[in-house]
Amino acid sequence: MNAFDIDDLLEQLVLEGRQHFSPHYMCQRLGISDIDGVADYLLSLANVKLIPYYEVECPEGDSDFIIPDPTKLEQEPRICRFCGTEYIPDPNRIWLAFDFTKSFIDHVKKKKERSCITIQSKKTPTHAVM
Amino acid sequence: MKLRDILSMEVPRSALKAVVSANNLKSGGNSVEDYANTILIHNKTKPLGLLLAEQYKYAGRTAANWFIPIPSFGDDWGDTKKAKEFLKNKYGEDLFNDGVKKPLTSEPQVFRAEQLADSLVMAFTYRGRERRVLENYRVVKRAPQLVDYVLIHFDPLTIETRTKTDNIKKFLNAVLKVMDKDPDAIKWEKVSKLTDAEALELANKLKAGLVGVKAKMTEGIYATKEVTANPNIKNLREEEEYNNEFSGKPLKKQTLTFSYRQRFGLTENIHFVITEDGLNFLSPVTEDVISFVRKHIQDIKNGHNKKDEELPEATGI
Repeated sequence: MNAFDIDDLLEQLVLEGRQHFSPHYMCQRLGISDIDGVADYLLSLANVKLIPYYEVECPEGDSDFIIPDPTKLEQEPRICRFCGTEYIPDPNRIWLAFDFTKSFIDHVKKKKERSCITIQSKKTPTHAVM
Repeated sequence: MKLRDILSMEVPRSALKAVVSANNLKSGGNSVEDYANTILIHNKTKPLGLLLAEQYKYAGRTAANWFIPIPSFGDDWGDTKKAKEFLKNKYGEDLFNDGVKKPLTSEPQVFRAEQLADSLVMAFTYRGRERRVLENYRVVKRAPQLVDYVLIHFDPLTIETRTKTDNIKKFLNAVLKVMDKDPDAIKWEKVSKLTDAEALELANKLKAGLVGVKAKMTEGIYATKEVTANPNIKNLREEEEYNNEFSGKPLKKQTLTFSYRQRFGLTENIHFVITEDGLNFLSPVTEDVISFVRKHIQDIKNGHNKKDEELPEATGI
């Protein structure tokens, strides 16, 4: 797992307008299988580049609700809002997904604009000094 | 329960009809009771009636999950003979005859046991959730008496629960209580929890077609997408449209279908679902079918390269 590759891909995803992606998605794009490693790295970017979401799944696999902290999951019976299954949330059934922070999106887009301007100015011929 | 009752209440109509047709019998009508009577009054089909009862009475449309205790406990539970002896010493002969009737609670309690081939089945009863119902036009609270089954397989010692997911922990603890084992000292390996790769391997071994799936969406606005195949499609995995959209996506639920020829002559499609919680048979199945699937899963988990002829062939769709 190469952190630079992940960083490059994250910028690419901003430019593609991608949203709400999981470590699985990152691994698929990168062609690697280290989901846990990628997840840990993405979590290290929380609140800087990324906003993490901890989605609690019902036994049918539906993302029922989001919790801010996976270590504070209330294990009280509840009913899934999609399938109606009554279940007790399981700390092992939490799906992790991420969105980009606004500041990171703005940063990447400005960086892209600057690189376009630089390329354009290199292509434009300078006036000869008379 | 009388044999006639088991046949008419637990055995699917298709199985009863298949036995009647295959033996060129004429039933008095086409209800399950008519078929059951016809099978039982003819000497040549009565053994088949016994076989049907044995195959369906503890199976049918059921969830099935398999657990191996860690550490394993061989001594009293090394084989059916030792296990039966333990249970008879603890509960008396009644456990294997009319049953042991204790006061009902919400905790499962064993009340009957029976040997099925080289396994033991234990019937557990418990009180279900209390509900408000009408009785003689008055609202009363009633908690139904429920029954679910646990099978014990040997070599290796494996506990098979046939109860819904929510009950599994309760049932495993109840089994340990029966076995006089401390629940805090035992961990369970859930053999029926399959990764996507293992589920694919099972589908290939069973020659089962994927006909429905719930996949987790790894990017975008959707959390899951659930699709079912139209009846002409036998296996979504063979379709480009499915692979383009779902290849590589974690699967939360897979609905599979495979063909199976029963010992009593019926060839039928078996429908089952694999989820993260284990297996659920959607169509009424026999002990042979559950055993067939279990052995393939054990094979996958053990990573053996058993040749296909060592296990009964799946006939494919």
